[in-house]
Amino acid sequence: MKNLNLILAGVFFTLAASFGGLLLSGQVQLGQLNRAPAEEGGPLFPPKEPGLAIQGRQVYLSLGCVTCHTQQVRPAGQGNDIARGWAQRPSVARDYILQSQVLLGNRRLGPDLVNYGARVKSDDEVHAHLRTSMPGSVMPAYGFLYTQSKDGSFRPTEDAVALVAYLKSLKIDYSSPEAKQKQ
Amino acid sequence: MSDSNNSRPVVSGQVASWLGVIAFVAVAIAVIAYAYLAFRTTDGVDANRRIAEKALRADLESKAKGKLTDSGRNADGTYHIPLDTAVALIAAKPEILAQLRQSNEGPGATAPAPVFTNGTK
Amino acid sequence: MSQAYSSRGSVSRIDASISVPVRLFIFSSLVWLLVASVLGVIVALKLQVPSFMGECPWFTYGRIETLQRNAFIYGWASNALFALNLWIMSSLARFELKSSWLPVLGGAVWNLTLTYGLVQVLLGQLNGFALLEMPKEVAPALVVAFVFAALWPAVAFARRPTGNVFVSQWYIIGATFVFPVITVVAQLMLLWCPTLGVMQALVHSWFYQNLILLWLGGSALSAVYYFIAKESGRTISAYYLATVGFWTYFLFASWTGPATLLGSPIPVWVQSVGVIASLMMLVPIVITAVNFFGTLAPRNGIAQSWNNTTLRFVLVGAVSFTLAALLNVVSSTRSLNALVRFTEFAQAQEHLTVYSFVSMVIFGAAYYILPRLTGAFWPSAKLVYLHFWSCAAGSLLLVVTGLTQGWAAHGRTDFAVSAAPGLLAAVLLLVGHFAFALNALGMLTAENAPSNRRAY
Repeated sequence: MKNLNLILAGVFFTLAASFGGLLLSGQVQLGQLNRAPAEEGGPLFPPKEPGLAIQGRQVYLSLGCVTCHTQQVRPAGQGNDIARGWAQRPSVARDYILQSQVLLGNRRLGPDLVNYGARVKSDDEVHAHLRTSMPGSVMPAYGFLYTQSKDGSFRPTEDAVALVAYLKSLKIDYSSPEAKQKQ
Repeated sequence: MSDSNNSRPVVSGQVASWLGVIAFVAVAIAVIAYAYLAFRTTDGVDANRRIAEKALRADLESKAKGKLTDSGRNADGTYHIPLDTAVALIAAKPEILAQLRQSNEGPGATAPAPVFTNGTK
Repeated sequence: MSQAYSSRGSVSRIDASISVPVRLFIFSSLVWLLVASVLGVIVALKLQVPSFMGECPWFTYGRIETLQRNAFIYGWASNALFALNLWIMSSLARFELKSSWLPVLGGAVWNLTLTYGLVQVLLGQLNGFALLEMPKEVAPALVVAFVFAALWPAVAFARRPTGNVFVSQWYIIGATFVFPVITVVAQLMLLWCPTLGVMQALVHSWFYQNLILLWLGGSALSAVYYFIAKESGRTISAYYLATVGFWTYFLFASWTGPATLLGSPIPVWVQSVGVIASLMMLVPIVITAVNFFGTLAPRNGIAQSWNNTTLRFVLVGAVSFTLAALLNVVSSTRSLNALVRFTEFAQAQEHLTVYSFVSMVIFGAAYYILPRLTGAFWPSAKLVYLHFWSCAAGSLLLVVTGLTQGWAAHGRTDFAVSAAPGLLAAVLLLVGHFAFALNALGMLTAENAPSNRRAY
């Protein structure tokens, strides 16, 4: 094979093969996924994201949170994600269909967040975690998300409010046909 | 190597080969991109619903605007006239307002009241 | 290491014809290398002292890490590979570039675009996909710049006077073709007309593996083949296998994306395909190993290469490639992957590929190319020595601590990482890179007149 176009055509074939085999067939399988009820006639899941949470995702992206936090829980046989109490069930493809950018992440310097909204109790808890550094944690305090008023109390900025709304919207505490199967 | 070579082509051989490689890459990208766009069905149920909601909103909005700008007959048999006309009428003849109030306090206006109170009980 | 200075005093016509673009690429890559190394120290420091530079949203860990990764891959490695691919191909195909302003224009646009993109990242405009974080207008400009800067090796190949083909040329052509295609397709499927849900993660893994293994890895493999044959003066052992190695490498590497997503909510069959592709990678791994080490091992060749600056770096790179690729095969088995996924183990694997393999090969190549390109000598042998040992030690430290910490993390529920070794490694790399840059800048700025050449 000495001709440039033949080599290029060969390399194109290798790329096109993996593109077709992985991405197009993946698209055929997952591209049509819609919201579904957990049981017949029930409400549709995943739930719609509140507008503030959509803004909060931009803050999450902009601060680069995805570098240290994943948003996926693996099935019980693969890793100890469920044993760590991050979620009751593994995450499934349907959980992500409403998200504009899917932030699965590939590194954990901190806990997984896919079900964070179901784990925390109040907004204040999340604000406290963002504003101050927890002992033994490599996550710094995000002090610039808060302004201090004269009486010494802290007020969250708009970004902080949106970010907390986003983090609280991260929940997979509902069931779905696939999730039942996967468990 | 003389610079006065008049038969020199517009595109040199190297640049022509370069354009050839670009064309190859461009075709490759186009084929893969086309395959993706052909397989990507944009009309998921969710997208359809969003489009339908948008159309409905636009429709309602234009209807609501129409009520303010056109005159016509309401569903309950009364009439509506554009706001500007109404303001002009009242300005020209202030006593019309008192007449309107009276007609509102008449039997026609009291009719829906029992239904409403029943509903809230 | 004295053989590094056996440079011919004069610059060949071929080298002179590509001198300007290659100098531009190498200069830009040096600048980005230093930027990335400084950022690397900051990243390591932020793991050690989380509150460091924490007062301003510009310097969150996520943003600095993103900057570092992009500056390293697109700034340092890609610029350097533009230079390497062009130089190797021109030399193999006896190619004299006529319109050198086109690649120069491409290089300028590439670096300006990258600067713009990284400033946007610093200001908080970033996406969540590794190596596609820069705003969505950046990638098209990068692809256009790439077309201007990096397609010339293919032109050289098409216009070569003889029909001879060497395996390096294939790798260069393949790598050059892959970059624009995967970048445009990934941009299209992630940012312009995004696919739904976890398909995005699948698309990204496809892009990422192709970028690392085929664009960076393919280009670097071409240099390994070239310099092993050239500097050892031996023919590649079992050369007839190299064709098979090339095609299997390109065929299987582009399917390995899903193997980096094991356990993710993507269909299980897709994950299995990725695992199978990873296993099949054993074929090109074995073939390249036979080619590389079969050539160098007999007749005391390893010791000889150790005394040759270029071959010493290239040898480290080739060993790292084989190790990294084997590690990728092993860690794509489900049971092991479940333990080390998301940990520093995976970071160490990536470092082994991107740094210990690709960057070390680039360094070795630069020690060969720059004297021929500039007609000057390397200014300081001590700096070469410092460069090699500092980078080798730093890189080894990063890989070993990453692998051990990642392995130790499985089954634990805390996130304790000991950041000190990483910080030390980052400082070592920074020192090594400064030594390299000082030497290389000395050559790039040297006058090309024999009277100005310092004697060694």
